[in-house]
Amino acid sequence: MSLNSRTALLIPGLLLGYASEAWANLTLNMPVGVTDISHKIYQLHMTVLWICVVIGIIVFSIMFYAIIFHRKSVGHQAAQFHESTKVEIIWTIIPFIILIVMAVPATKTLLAMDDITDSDLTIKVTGYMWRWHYEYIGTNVSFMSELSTPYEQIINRDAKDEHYLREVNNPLVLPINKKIRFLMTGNDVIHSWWVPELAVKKDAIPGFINETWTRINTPGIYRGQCAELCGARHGFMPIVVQAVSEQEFQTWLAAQQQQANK
Amino acid sequence: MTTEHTYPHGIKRWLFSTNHKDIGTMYLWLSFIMFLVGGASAMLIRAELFKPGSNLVTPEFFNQLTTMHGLIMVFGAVMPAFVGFANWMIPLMIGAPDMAMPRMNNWSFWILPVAFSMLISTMFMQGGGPNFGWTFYAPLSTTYGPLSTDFFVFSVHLMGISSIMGAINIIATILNMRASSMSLMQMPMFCWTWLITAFLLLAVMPVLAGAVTMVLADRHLGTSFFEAGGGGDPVLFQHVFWFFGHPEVYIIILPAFGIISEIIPTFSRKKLFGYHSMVYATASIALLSFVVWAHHMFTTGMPLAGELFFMYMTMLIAVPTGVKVFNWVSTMFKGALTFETPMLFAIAFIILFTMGGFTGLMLAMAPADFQYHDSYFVVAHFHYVMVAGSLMAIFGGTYYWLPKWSGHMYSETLGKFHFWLTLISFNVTFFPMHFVGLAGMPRRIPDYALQFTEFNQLASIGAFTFGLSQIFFLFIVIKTIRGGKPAPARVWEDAKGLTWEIPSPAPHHTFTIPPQWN
Amino acid sequence: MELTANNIFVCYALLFCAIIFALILIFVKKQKLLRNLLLTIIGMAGFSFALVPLYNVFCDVTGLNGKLDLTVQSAKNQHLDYSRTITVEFVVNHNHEMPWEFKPKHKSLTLHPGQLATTAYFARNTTKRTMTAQAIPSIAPSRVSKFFKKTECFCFSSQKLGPGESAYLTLSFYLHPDIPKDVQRLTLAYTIFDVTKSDNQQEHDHG
Repeated sequence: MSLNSRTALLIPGLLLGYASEAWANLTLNMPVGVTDISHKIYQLHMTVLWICVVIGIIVFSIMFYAIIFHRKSVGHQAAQFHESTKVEIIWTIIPFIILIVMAVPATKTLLAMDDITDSDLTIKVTGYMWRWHYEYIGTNVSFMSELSTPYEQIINRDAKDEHYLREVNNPLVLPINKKIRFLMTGNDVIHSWWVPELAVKKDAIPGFINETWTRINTPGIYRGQCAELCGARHGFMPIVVQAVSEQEFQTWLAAQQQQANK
Repeated sequence: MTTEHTYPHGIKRWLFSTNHKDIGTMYLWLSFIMFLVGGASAMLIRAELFKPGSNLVTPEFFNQLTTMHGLIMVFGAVMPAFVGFANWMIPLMIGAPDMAMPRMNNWSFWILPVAFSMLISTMFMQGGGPNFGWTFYAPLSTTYGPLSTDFFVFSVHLMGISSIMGAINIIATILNMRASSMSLMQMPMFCWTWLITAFLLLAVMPVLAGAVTMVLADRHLGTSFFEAGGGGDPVLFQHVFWFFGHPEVYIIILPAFGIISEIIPTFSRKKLFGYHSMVYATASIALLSFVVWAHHMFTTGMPLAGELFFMYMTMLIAVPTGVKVFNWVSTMFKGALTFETPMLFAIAFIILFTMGGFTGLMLAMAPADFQYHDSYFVVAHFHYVMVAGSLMAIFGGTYYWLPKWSGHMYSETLGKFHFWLTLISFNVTFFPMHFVGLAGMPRRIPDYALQFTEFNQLASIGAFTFGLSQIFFLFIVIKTIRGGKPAPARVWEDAKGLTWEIPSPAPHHTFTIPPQWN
Repeated sequence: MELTANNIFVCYALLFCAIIFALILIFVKKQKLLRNLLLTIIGMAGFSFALVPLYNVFCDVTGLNGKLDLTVQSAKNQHLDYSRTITVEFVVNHNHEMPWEFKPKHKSLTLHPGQLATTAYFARNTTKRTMTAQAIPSIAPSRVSKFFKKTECFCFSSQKLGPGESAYLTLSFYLHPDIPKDVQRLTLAYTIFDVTKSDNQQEHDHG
């Protein structure tokens, strides 16, 4: 969020504690994320949310006004009006206009998400029951990425560590500031690859490939999960993306290539 | 005036009933039993989700629980409840002696205990019950579904036949058996919403039957409609299913709209605002419901044109829905309001259903849906519209009409207690789900990452309370049926319509001679 | 139209619906409303089965799901567009850990729209039994699938290999010159499925 909108939202943000970015990174709200698209999606989400909150407050205030002041017990007599074409037209047109206002940023964001040209790197992601497979297209590098939370933690014999159920043996290492294209497919049933902080979610469908992309702005570790019911261990096939600088990525990739060539 | 005749008593009265009141009663009891069964599965789900790693049930069984919960609540609790209301109230509201086809009405009902016994028995079959979610996507259901999947298919066919026959009956009754001089634009709004719902049912239950038959074919007849290996496409399943699935959720809410449209005017002592507009809005919602199905599929790899189309169409539904909410509020405004239990539920409906509508609008925004889809945000949304929506309307309607059905007033104190308990525990259960969904918790998982713990615990506590509250409701209903202050014909001071001209309890046969209306 | 199990089933289903439709038309004459309601029901049931071929037609015409037509395209009279080149990536998926070795000869090819290209896939049955595979193509972005014309493809039919047997499977194709100008790269993926069971069944049925 830019400085201006952050300041503007400070008062309602303080009041409701929901809009400011500090709260955004608690587990109360969608993450703002680390890509331009994730920022756009967050903005769209907050815009629509606020519009809905305002409409809700207006409509419910009118209703509560009636509940308090138009009750029989305070002696209010019922009026007789029961229709008005004018009013029906007004409250059809105004919501329609509000929808058009919402549709503009939504369309723009969708158009931005649809542009998969000029990518720097392609990763083929394959969903298996119940783990992910990554292949760096154009290299020999490919590996399985499986849940690495120890069984003892899942059955409560050991205390759970911080990243319980969201850690893997081989994370997907990606360079920042590069446009990364994903080809998603499924090995057996439909899975879905979701990393909230990248705002990437795409179904992995057996027999088909789906295309999507991301460009990560900030290095870090980003965790996600499978988002389509795929059998018993659907909740146990997480995703970990490790975003690093371009040099670190090249070094890592070269080492992986060497290992693969052995 | 009613004609006396000897009608069967005991088992025969119920097994062979052709009486709309008795059949309505049976539907309502079936629905309540299914509600408790579906509720039990929900309690187990929330117990498992009370903390990470609770291991109360295996992940395999958890998937069966979530599947059963969805199927039973949608097909066994909500839909039969509304059909029960339709059976009881439509003939009374239009001054008809019974439904158009009373024998078919009997079959419509009795298919259901068979269907649900079969469905529930699948949990005890080898391999367990269906475990692929109520949406049974292929190839999880086709290639990897357990043996019981075929019984699931059969029971869905039976439910579909029941719904279709019921829909035919309702349409024929409303179109052909209204009291003379009652035009369509003069009948109660509940009849309108059910008329439109019945058309939706006729249009889409056959499509569900097709989908489920194709699943059976893929499993056993060597076809591969939904498997790429044989030239098919898993996404085709989603298109066929959701072509049924989206109108289905309007089937679930439209009768609720009708009930609310009956309750609000009575307790506002003011006619429903904008009757014509309400009819057109309901019809618009029904028509639009046919062109929005792929908003459940934004992440499947749809091309841009498709995403835009379905986004815009879905957003459009907000317009007629908003019109209905404004009309209800305008009915209340400058009325003379009292707040008996039915009115409390109706007011809660308006607020909470609207909140569910708002999250629905958020979900319609396709780019944002990439973050919401298959997360607990969606779970929160549909529970707001289906529980705070449909279920609260069912509660409201029960309190509203129970005195007419039983002849006794329910205890207003107990009713209000049930209301507040339900309202608060509902919100404690489902409001936190918005947050964990936004924070990244996916649906249909038996165990979760640590940061989701607090809100899940809150939700579970709310759920247990909500469940107990409904046992309390059962107690209230039984107590009322067995005795209570005798209810007059016009149970509620300003209730209007033919329903309130007949005695309470309503005699076994009513309007055997068409009434003079208006 | 091929004589696949899907098509046979859909034909039977539509025939069944048509017969019931006709019966209703003939026998339910008096009660018009009831007749129309029943016709609607059976019509919608027929519609749901008709969705199978309708979906395929819709996808073929619009290329919407990246599905590629499994029929031969003619290569005659395509003019080459020398003004630009497009890179075609070849990617491979094994369905449900299908044990065959399956690799593209070229990982990618750069060509002009309209230019006929030939590549191959190396397939080897690494198991000790005869197996049959079906390769299912899928293209990304899905909107270019109607511009990808295959003149010869091993995916047109299933491939049977004995134990240890290997083969080079040919693919000849061109990109139609009408392919949108902003497309610089596309990916063709083949997923190989093990269809040994249904292949054996077909042989058993047809001798």
